[in-house]
Amino acid sequence: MFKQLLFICCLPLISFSQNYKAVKDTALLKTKIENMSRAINTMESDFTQEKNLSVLSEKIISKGHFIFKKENLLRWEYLSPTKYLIVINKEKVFIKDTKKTSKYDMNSNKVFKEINDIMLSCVQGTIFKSNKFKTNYFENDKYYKLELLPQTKNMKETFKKINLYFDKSVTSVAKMEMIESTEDLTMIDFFNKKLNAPVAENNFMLK
Amino acid sequence: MRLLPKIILCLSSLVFFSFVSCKISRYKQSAVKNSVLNRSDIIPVVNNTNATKFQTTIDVLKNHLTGILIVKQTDSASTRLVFITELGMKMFDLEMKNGEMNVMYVFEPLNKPQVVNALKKNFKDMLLLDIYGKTGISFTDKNNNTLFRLIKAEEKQYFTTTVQNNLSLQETFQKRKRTSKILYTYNNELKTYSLIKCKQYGFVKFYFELTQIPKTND
Repeated sequence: MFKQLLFICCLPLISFSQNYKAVKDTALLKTKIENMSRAINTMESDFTQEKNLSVLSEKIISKGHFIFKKENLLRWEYLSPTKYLIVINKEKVFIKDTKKTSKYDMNSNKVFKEINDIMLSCVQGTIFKSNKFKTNYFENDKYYKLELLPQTKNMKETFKKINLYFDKSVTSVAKMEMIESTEDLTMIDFFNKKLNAPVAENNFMLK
Repeated sequence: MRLLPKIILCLSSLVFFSFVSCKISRYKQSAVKNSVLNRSDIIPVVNNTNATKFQTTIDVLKNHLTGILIVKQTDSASTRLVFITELGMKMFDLEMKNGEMNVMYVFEPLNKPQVVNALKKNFKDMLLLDIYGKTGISFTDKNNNTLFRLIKAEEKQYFTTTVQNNLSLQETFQKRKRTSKILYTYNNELKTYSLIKCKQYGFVKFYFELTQIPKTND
């Protein structure tokens, strides 16, 4: 009885995953993503982050807003349930939480360099070019899915894989999934997107 | 003239001793009674049906870590504590089972014995995971607050409660030296602890701050 129930519960997931098939012309998809990345000079979007903790059967839903500007400017802000802000301004990283603001130099901190590379390349969709991941390409009626499998020891310890979704017209990243080595899943959905709208420089400054 | 440094040393030791001992001396008991600590004596921090979430900061040396702590009782004998950063990365996962705090996962850069032990000890104390059913003594102070004392191995833990039976202060001493101090703010309207601040004293000092995240419809 339990197995039957489990099967019924998992049925939508099984059918969801079966909808994806391997992309035949991966070179064409890579070109489309590279063109998209080249065409985006600024991007602004709201996001919802859903963290699923497998051991507790609990979800933590965070909401926020992000702004990106070429080349290396990113403002990633959580507005609920807690306030938290990360600003990447070229070689500097600022982190502001409810208690304090910290400033780091990217070149002197390997961890921030890594976070910076992942965040910026995910937002721009160019992460598939990184040699830290092996990429598999899938598609269904609605999305292209890039499955990124970590290749380095440090990445493998943290992530099992990262899935990046693009709408079929490949205009921007639609959503992102990070599956940790402990099977915990973080999903980020982007909505209310604005591409190439004017963005003020002071969004990337923090006192 | 040669005696002067010795005298200064003796005097400073005396001053230091009286300073240290006065901290524990505030818990001098007169009329005491043996008592088994239960949930009606001290209102628990952790809800035994739903998960409790705290915005959490951890400060150790020059490191400052923030995130969300999720505490959930998974069965009658186990409570799970998972700490994730705002970006969603899991930093540690601890399980309190039958009075023992076990490490299920720790993010590699945090996996140092001193850090892990501080996390286990302080979260167990802050969240009152190992006090109910234990035999101690109860007494009242000059302000008529009810206090409880538990003795665990070399430690003495003192709990100061208010008239509503919520905890306002928890202090731990080893011999006569204070090893930690935890301050509790109770929200009478929401019937929960809204803020918990914990200082661990010693060679490496830790500071924890837990602010409860109110439940939403999400």
